[in-house]
Parts: sequence; structure tokens; C-alpha cells
Amino acid sequence: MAIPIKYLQINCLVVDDEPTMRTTISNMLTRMGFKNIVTADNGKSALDIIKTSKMDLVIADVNMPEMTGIELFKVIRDDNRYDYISFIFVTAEARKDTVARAAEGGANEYLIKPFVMGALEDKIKKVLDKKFNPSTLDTLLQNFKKYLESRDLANAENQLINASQIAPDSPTILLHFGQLSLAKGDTNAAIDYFKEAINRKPLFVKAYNAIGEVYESLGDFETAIKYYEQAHSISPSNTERLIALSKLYYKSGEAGKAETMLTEARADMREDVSASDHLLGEMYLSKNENEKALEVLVKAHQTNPAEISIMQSLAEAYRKVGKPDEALAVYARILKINANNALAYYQMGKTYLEMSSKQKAIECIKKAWELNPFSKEITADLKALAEKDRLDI
Amino acid sequence: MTAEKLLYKIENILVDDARPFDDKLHRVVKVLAADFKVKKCSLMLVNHGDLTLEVRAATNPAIIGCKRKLSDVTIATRALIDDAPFYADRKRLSFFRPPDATRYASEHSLSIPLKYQDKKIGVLNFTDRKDKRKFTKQQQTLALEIGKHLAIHLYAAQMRAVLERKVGQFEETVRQLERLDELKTSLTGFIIHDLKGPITTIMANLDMLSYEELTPSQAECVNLALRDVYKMQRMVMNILDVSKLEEGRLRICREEVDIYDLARREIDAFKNILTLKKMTTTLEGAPHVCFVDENLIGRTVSNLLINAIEHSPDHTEIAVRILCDATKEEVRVSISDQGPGIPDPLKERIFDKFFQVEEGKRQSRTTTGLGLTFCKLAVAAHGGRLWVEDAPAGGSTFVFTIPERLV
Repeated sequence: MAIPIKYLQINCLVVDDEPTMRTTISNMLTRMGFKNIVTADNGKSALDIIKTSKMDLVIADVNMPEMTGIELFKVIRDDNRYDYISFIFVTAEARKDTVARAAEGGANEYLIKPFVMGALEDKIKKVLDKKFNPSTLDTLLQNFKKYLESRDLANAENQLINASQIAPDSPTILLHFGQLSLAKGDTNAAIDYFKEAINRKPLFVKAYNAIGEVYESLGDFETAIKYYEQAHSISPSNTERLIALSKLYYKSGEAGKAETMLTEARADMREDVSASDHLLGEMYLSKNENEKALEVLVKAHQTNPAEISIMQSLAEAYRKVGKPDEALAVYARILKINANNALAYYQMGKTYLEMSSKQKAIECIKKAWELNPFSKEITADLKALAEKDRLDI
Repeated sequence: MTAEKLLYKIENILVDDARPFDDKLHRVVKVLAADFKVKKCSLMLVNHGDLTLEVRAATNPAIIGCKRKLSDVTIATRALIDDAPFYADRKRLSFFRPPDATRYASEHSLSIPLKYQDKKIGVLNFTDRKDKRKFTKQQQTLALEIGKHLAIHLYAAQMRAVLERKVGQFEETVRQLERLDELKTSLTGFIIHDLKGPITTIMANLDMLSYEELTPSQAECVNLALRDVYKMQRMVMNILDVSKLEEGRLRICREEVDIYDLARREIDAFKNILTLKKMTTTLEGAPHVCFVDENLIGRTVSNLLINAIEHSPDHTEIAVRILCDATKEEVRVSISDQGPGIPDPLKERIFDKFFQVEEGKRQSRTTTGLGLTFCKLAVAAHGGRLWVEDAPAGGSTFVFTIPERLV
């Protein structure tokens, strides 16, 4: 699969702390026909280059001193001035899940070592096509996401309807229809869409997860656990889900089950430091060993700053040790990555409540409620606040 | 007390495992002294380390631990060396004055050698009846009888001590070996893990070289080197993953993967080796998205392909088929070669760890024998099955399934 000539003029940046690997990847790019290639030996120096000259494609190793590939990725993706950059991670298999989730959505890909030129060429073509020559389906789905994010539900729906005409069997589109229904506040319709997606592709993990999330919001923990468990048994390496599941176990009084699950996962994932630290932090949080939790979660966040679920845990730790300002800063960062994160708004509101800033708390919880109106917890809290202050909401 | 009763009593003391051994001996000596109505009774054991007789139990505790050299001429050593009871009256005793004593203070003494089969174990001494009379014939016979019983127990106790020491040594050796094995395992792990880096660059650079315009002999060099670096890569990855899969430590990460596309890519990766062996491949099926761990299933296909290539004669064909079950229950991937096939009794065993088909039937090779084991485990981690059957046109067909439903 040769790279189309029109792509060959772009600027490529190769980031790797191993000189041999750096040279090898640059040589591969030269062999593919790319004309402009620069290299950097870690995330920090790469960032300096990105700031001073326009880089279209970044190929970065994950494990590097000073600044890891994931940290670099996070900085770039946080700044919409760099939206034009396509990103390819190069990683060892041990961190696959973390990297796969970091790269999910958008013009990002990852490649597992060892690899040969053909594989890199495939990935480069894929990310550049997404950027410069997206398929109609890709464009429609990207537009859908944009409209959904700006809460323009009518336009979002149009995009999806068009997309489903192109790929009528796609379970992903059904998943999006479910998300759209959620945004409209229709949980029943959403669950139906998710179930239909599972019906078409019984191993479609994201759909199980989505149903679990809906039931969790609705306060039906038993059903939520059932769906999370199914998702977990299909694909057990997802730390975010592991933690969601363990939290539900704690909530339903099955602390032993939660602990066994976290301990086992930690042993299996010891090669992925941030995931392992995250799980440990969660374990400390559940035992109210908050100082210890904070320590490991700060570490986990530093290694993998793009991971929202780590940030959620980190903020919780800050709150529990009595540093609400730090927690608020973390929530703000989450909202910068995903402006529609209802949970972050809700937790932010809870933090303000703990600080006795009632007005700000109401603002945040109301925002959370708008984003997730069917959440039992959020609705109940908002109602309580409204009654207390005799507010009309 | 009758002889039977006395023996029974002593037996009871000796079999009581709750008591320390020396304590038991002490009680035996006391019982014997009482029954024989003597002033003193003692038990001496042969110490093979320094060739002495050592007092282990005595009615007079002060002499416990005292030693007599086996070479010294004393009544006890005499009984032991003669291998017969030694009875001495005052007159006879004066001949056996130990070197460190002026004389025996006793009137009458009886020493019984303790022997188990051919092993001399010690001596049982009785000294001076309280009534100052001679030991009777019955007493001498009884003493001999008791000596026999005592000898058996003492021998057993000695053996037990030896055994316990050996067991202790064994346990220590086992602990040491376990520590060494752990060290070796982690060291091997580190070495194998660290090999991944160099292999990545060697593989990538040789692969790049293979795209250049090379002369046929250059191309052959590059392809041969590539073939073996691929082999090395598979070996390293298989070793690392087989242990993880076995321990259930490898958590699969499912993604949307087009299995047809994946098979095509894996076949493409072997183009150099296929050229080298002048082999061809076919791929049947249609694009089909399933949810699998792309890396694990990709490497399964890759391991099965190389297995087929290495067992096929030159100029033959390998056929890969992707079959989607009509009921949409599972996807089936099969890889057929035109090699010599696998005899029925080995069809299961080839998936065993480190198994190699014997020479002559299928050529033996220099691999770790982990390729098929990895495939089996990787497929099982997805809930699927892997087996081998005879290909209709000769050769073998390896088939694996991936369920498309939650099992």
C-alpha cells in the first residue's frame, strides 16, 4: 500500500529515545518517499519542535524519559491549535490497552513493536486519509460527534441517518444512535439501540458498557453490574471498566469481590505502570487510606495524563485529603478534554458543596443534570438543593 | 515385676513421642534401677564421630555427658568389644580401672552390649545391688532381653535423627534451588524481554533492505536473514506470552478487526520466505469484522503460516480460508499445507509445550516448540478451539474458531 504522492510533502516528526529506533523509523519514512523528516529524543524536545514548526505527522514511542509519548499526545490534543497533527504511537504490547484507548477516535493510530515498514505504511496512510481524504462515512461520523458535543441534536441525528444509509449493518452507528437518545433524555430508546447493536455483534464490548452506564445512572446497580461483568469478560484489560465495576461492588456491599478483582487485575497489569497505580489508588481510596491513594494517583496521572478515569480518581483523592482547590483544577482539566463529561460537572458541584459554595455547586450540578438528566443521583441531589434554597429549577 | 511387665513398661515409655528422647532414656534408666534394685544404672551410646562411649542417661545425673574412649579398657568398652554381657565382681573390677579414676567404688557390675543387627549402639550398665549381693542369672537374662529392645529403639531414634537432618538438608537444598530457579526465570525473562528491542531494529532494517534493487544472491542473503529474525521474533514473543497465557495473566484487549484483512496482512509479511521456497498462497473468504485481540490473533495466524511453510516442500501451495458460520456463531480460519501431514496419534500432542515431531516423520527443527502452544492458548483466550486435520489432498489443515457470541 504505497503512500499517495500528495502526502509526501508533509512534515514528519519521529520521537524515540532509542537512537537506532529513531533512525530506523526515519529511514522507513524516507524509503516511503517522505521528504521532510525531523527527529526528537523525547516528548519535551518534540514539543519544542511542534511549537516552532508545523508538524503534520508525529510518530512517537510511548516510554521515554522527560516526557512520555502519552504526555506529549495529551498536551497536543489539549490545544486545538494543533488539531492538524496526526499521531501514531509506537508501543510495546504490555501497554496496549492504555495506548489503544488514548488513540481512540480522531486521526490517531498505534503500532505494536516489533513492526516492519509495511505495517507503518498502512497506519500512516490510514491516519492521513482520515485527515486529508476522509470517507463519506468518516466525515458523517465526525460531524455527528461535533454536533453532539455542541448539543445540536437535530443536526447530529441527520448525520447519523445518512451514515446508517451507507453502513446499515454497523453496530457502531447503532451505538451512536443510542448516545443520541441519551442526549435527548430517552433512556429506553438508548438501551434498545445498544441491545440491537449487541444483537448484531454479540461481542461488541462498547454496547455492553454503554448499557451498564445507563443502568448505573438510573441507580439500578444490579443490572449495571450484570452488563459491566459481560463487557469485562469479553475484554478484561480495560482499567476504566474494572474500576467502575469495583465501585459498584463497593456500593452494593461486596467489598471482598471488588478487592479480589482489583488485586488480580493489578498483578496481571503490572507491566502497565499507570494502570497498575490507578488500580492501587482506587484500592486505597476504598479503604479510606487517602494520603497513600493520592500519592500513587499523582504518579499514575503523571505517567498517563490523558486518561480521564485516572483524573476522576485523582480528584476524589484530593477531596478526601482536604484539598478541594486541587480537585477543582483536575475537574476543570477533564472538562477541557471532554466538555460534556457530566460526571466531572457533578463531582465538581459536590466539591463546591463540601466547600460550602452553594451557588457554584448548584450551577455545576445543574449542568451535570442537563447533560445526564436521567441520573438518579444527580437528579436527587439537585432536587434536594433546589428545595432547600426554594429555587425554581 | 515380671519380665513381660517390665518390658511393656519400658516399651510404653519409649514409644511416647511427646517426650524428648533423652527424657525417655532417663525414665527408662530409673525404672530399670528400681526393678533391678541397683544403686546405679546408666546408658552409654557409641559416638562414631570421636570413637567414644558417651553417657546419655544415668541415675546419677552428674555423669551424663562423660565419655570413655573406645580404646580404653573399661568394663563398658569390654562388653561392647566382646559383644557379650560383662559381669564383674570387686576383684575383677580392679583390672578395669579407668585411666582417670583410682578404682571402681563398686562391688558388682553388669554391662550389656546394645546391638541392632551388626550395628554396635551402646552399653547398658547396672552397678551394685542395694543388698550388695551378686546379680542373679534371671537378672542377667532379663538385662539381655531389655538390651535387645532398647537397641531397636535407640537404633530407630538414631536413624530418625539422621533422617531429620537429611530432610532438613533436603529442604534447604530445595529452598536454594527454588530461589535460584526464580532468579533464573526472572533473568531469562529480562533477557528475552530485552531482546525485543534489537530484534525490532534488525527486522525493520532487513525488511527495508529487501525493498532495494538487489542482485539475486544479495536478495537471498537478505531473505535468509529476514527469515531467521522473524523466527527469533516469534520465539521471543511466544516464550513471553505462553507463560502469561498459562497463568491467565494476559488479558485480551478486543477491538474491531477485519479478520480477512488481518489474514491478508499476515500472508504479505511472509512474502520473502515464500519467495525463498518458491511457494504460493491463496486466500479465500470475504471481509468480516469481528472483535478480537488483533495482536494475539495476528500472531496466531502468523505462527500457523510459518508452521505450514516450514513443513511444506518447495513449490507447493498454502491455502488460507476464512469461513463465517451461517448461524453467525463463530468465524473459522483454516490453513492447509501440502506437507507430509501429521500421524493421528500426534494430532493432539503437537500442541503440547516444547513438543517436536520426531525426525523422519516431519523434519525436526530448531525452535522452542512453543508456536503451536501459543496458538492454542491465544485461541482459547478468545473462547475458541484449535485443531489439526488431514487436508483432503494430503498435508495438514490447521483450523481455529473464534466464537462471535459470549460464551
